[in-house]
Amino acid sequence: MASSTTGEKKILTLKGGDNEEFILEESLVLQSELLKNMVKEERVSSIPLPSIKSKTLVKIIEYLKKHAELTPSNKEEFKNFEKEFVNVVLEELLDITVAVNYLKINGLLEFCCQAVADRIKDKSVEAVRKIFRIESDFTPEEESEFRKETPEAFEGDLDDTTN
Amino acid sequence: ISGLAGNVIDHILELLPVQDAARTSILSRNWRYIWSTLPNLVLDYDFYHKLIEESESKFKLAVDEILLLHMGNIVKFILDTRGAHLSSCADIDRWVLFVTRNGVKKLTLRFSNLDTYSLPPSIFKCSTLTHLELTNCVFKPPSSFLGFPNLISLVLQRTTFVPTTSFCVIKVPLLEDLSLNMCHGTQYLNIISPSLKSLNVRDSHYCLVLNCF
Repeated sequence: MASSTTGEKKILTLKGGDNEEFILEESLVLQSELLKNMVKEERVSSIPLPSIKSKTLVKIIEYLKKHAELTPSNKEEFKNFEKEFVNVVLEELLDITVAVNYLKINGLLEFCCQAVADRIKDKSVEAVRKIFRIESDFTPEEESEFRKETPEAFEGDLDDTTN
Repeated sequence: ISGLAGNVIDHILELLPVQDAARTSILSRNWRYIWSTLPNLVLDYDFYHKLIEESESKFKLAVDEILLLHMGNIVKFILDTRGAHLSSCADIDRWVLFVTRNGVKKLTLRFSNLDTYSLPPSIFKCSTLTHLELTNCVFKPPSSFLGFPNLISLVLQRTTFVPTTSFCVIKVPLLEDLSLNMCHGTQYLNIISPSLKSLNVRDSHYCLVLNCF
């Protein structure tokens, strides 16, 4: 990829896992600590991100654009956008979280982690296993032994649904 | 979720209420010890109120159980019991002793103004502290108090200083941020901090001696 500039704005190409290319202003990707270091130290104009699905990258770029436009007057709008942003199926939310952690976009990582946490809040152990597709590999004896260890105060009214 | 890096899982568990985070230790073998080795224990206002509404003994039992299950260092410990009265503080002394013996660096203790808490000697011997935040405490160091050698941030609200001899001397060579909010007995206070960068004082009644060498 040849490096190109339009006026003052530097352009950068990100390549998703399925080789789809995304062309965007360099200033946008500086929100990612990882990309910022790559751009500053190595002066690259094209960055391959083979571990990130294009679908995930589209979402992240959408966030970077919105975040760059954030001003005190559109704070509310941004909050609503954030809420909608994580309102996706869990699989997708986890993909985004993994990618954001890799790219080191700190503010968004915090937000994604909170969104994952919110999905398992007040849920029973069985429900959390279903949500995350975790198979219990404990023997029945171990399971009842470990349950006894858990503070009694942490039982109580729990939600068995997985939505 | 098993595809998530360890740091992300730790972060998610820290954003969950303690009750929910604790339950993850019975999900599967991989999850068995993640919660119990987390370095940060946040027993916040919500945690306290959920339990104290049932009974004080239930709250105290829950904290005891959490600390007994914990493994490894406790880097951050937050206990917030504002808004409801506690009949005795003896248990809190034990918890503070426990965390100060487990390498606590960031310690926050917030009490309601109904239960001014006298800090136990274990705090004054804790040299690992880097951040200390206290609300509604009585700060009376023992005569053997040598200061906090690693403290960077000290935030005190509605805290009363009681002199050991004629002054309450706090040697804090690395202190950068000091905040005193509606504290009493500041006339006894003598803070020795050569590296202070930020000082925030609100509505403290008497004079404040701040020695910087």
